[in-house]
Amino acid sequence: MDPNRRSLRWLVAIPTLFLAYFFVYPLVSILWVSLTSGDGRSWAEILHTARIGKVAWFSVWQATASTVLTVLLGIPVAWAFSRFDFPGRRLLRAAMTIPFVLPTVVVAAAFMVLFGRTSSLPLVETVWIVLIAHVFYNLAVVVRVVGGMWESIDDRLVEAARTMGANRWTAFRTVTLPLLRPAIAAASAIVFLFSFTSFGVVLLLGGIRYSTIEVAVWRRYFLLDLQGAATLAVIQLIGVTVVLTVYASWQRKRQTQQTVRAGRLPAPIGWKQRTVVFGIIGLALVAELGPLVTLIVRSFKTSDGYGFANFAALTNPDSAFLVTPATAIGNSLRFGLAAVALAVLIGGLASVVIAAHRTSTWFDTLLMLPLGTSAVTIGFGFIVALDWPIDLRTSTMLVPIAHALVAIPFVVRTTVPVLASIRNHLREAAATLGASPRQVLRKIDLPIAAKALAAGGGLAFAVSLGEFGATSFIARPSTPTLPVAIFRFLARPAEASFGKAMAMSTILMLVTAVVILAIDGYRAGDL
Amino acid sequence: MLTLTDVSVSLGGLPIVHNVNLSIGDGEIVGLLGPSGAGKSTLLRAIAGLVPLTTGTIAWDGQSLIDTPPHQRNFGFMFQDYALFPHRNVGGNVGFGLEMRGEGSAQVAVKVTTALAWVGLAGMEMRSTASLSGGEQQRVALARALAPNPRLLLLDEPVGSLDRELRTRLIDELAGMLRERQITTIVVTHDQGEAFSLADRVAVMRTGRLIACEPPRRLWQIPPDEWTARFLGMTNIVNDPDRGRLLIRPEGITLAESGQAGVVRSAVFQEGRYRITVLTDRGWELSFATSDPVTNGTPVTVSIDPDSIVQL
Repeated sequence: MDPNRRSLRWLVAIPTLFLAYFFVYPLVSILWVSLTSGDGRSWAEILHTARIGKVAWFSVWQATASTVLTVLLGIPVAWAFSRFDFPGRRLLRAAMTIPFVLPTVVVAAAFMVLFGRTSSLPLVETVWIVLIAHVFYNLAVVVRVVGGMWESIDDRLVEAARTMGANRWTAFRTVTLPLLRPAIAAASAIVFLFSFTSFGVVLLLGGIRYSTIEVAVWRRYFLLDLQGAATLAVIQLIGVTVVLTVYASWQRKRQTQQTVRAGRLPAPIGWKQRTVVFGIIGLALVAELGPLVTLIVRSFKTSDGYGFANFAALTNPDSAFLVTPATAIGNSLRFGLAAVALAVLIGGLASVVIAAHRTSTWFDTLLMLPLGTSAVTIGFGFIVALDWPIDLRTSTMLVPIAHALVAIPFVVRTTVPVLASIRNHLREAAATLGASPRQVLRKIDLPIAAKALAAGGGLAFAVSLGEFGATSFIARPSTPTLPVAIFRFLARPAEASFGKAMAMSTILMLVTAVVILAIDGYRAGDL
Repeated sequence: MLTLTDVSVSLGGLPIVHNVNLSIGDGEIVGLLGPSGAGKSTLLRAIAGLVPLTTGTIAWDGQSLIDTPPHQRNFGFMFQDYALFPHRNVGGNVGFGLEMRGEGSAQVAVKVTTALAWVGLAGMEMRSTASLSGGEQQRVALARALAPNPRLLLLDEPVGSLDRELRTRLIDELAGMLRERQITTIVVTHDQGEAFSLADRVAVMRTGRLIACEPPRRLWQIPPDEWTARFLGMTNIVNDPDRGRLLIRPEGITLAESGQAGVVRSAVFQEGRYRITVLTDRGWELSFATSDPVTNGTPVTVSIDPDSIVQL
């Protein structure tokens, strides 16, 4: 850190303490529970009871299959969006991203409508629906990450290869693909981790036959097998760490200098190219947005035609809850705002520290860890750990804190690149003009990073609105959130419940979509 | 008065500036001249307090500045890339230093207007910095550095990133303005023409050391060593059996009726004159300018003014 910013070092304390108490300590507690709170069973017995072999195998193979399918289907879409310019390109690409940020319960709800037992393609409770949902969910990752890099590849590299005798396919294979490889690897790692720790989709759509480790942790917990749940959580954490470590070391070895394309993207030329490009984009949009449209339509369907009955019913008390579903919506909004405040404050401070160091440090890694840690693990960790030194488990702040924990990496990832891109000369210029380090932070860093912080805050809000895994552990029965309420309604067979679930899913989806589209106008870096 | 005593600076363990001693009087303009990598910019940044000294002291009117952070030195600094704040318009940039001193907004506005007028950008307060041309950005950066009325102005390659024609014009303007307002200035440049047209004294730096600090005319007439002579563009360095290594300044060489005989080896027409190289019978290779139209291979005789011969 350069000498003039050394006085900002104390900033590191707040995020570190927050993460130490709300993240590291709960994880250590889980480890402690898995090792000690024995009821006399051996590890083998615990793992046997939890059917670890079956669960772990399913987690790995479905994640692998989901990743391969997502990458294969995503690459053509990434190509169409990143190599050509056409009116509405940014908006359509933003629309493509909506499923990725949607709450799992909303995706599950949409798929229940499309592939439910009474539909023409009843795939519910098969492995297919899990794979399809994962592809649906993660396609945007490939489009964004791979497409982002594809867009930056200098056309002249391919042109140079073509002048040296490479045909289109050879040029793609020998020039474009190697340049894209880091992005494909990054996207694959993200998709694999999301699928590996998949919770809501598997729990709601897979039925009781299919269970990822994540779902198994939840099930063991509700069977009151704390040690089993803890042991599974530890095993999953090890798996995630292995994947992240392998990926990180692979990526370090492959960092290459990229030349960046200059100028604008061309429009697709000729009817053939146009058909292919717009065909791919059209199919992708139908696949990604179709289920959502179906969900909206279904939410208006009542016993006698279409109308607002499902929405109107949300204000009525329901036997499943201590409060009305409408109250759950209010809870979600309030928790969301609190989570945004926390995530922006802590993520913002952390970003300043990381951007000032410019090199990867333990702190950097610590902040990103919640992203790799499953939501269920975080929720479970809160339950086992946060009764010390004071019992926080009944505090209403617990839900926003968990959401902030999940959202902080998003804030950091949108803010750090912007802060790091501020040339140090600007800060030095401000210093020579009489600005103290604190004034530099307030007058230079903060205003320049304000948009990025706002975008990070928007993401945090979307994350909080949709968070289900952790919330399902820690939400009090008196203060359910929207996704928790949707889950309970979906789990009940009554038609009236299903209608209400659809109405709430529609509301949740629309709010999330509005937030995401609003911040995409800014879009700092890929998710 | 600024006084540097035995100033050394290391960056990341690498020594960049070695034992520099330099004094700059009030109102004086010193050019810091040297090739890239000589440590000029680092020395300038050290004076501003942006990099710490390894050893030595920097003092203003006898008071050490070692423990004074950059924001309390009241030195204006202009960066080579200008470092204009992208989130502030022209007025916001120029007024920044005044705001930092806690001046009221009305007073800031008045002073911003004045500073912009100095640099010929009157009325451009509301423009965004992105909409400015390179030359305009340079002027805004200068106005920003000048507006808080610093006791010392530090310019790092002030016109380095502009094209040649604009550079010459801006240097002339800059020289006029600094002289008129008697602003104590250190200006870093790698271009001897710029240094000579701006500075009262030119400090030559090479690999972190200060080689000389003289008025331009004196530096040109009696360069301290061969390297400096070559760096200043004087390439006529010859071996004389009696006097050893000699520098012959180009302005002392003319084509004449009598003198050393030789043959023109190259002739380039430039700015109204011929820049020619003559190989004399003594084996001296002499480059100079002449108005006489000559071509390659022309036999000539050259006359050398004894005052333009410097023993190295």
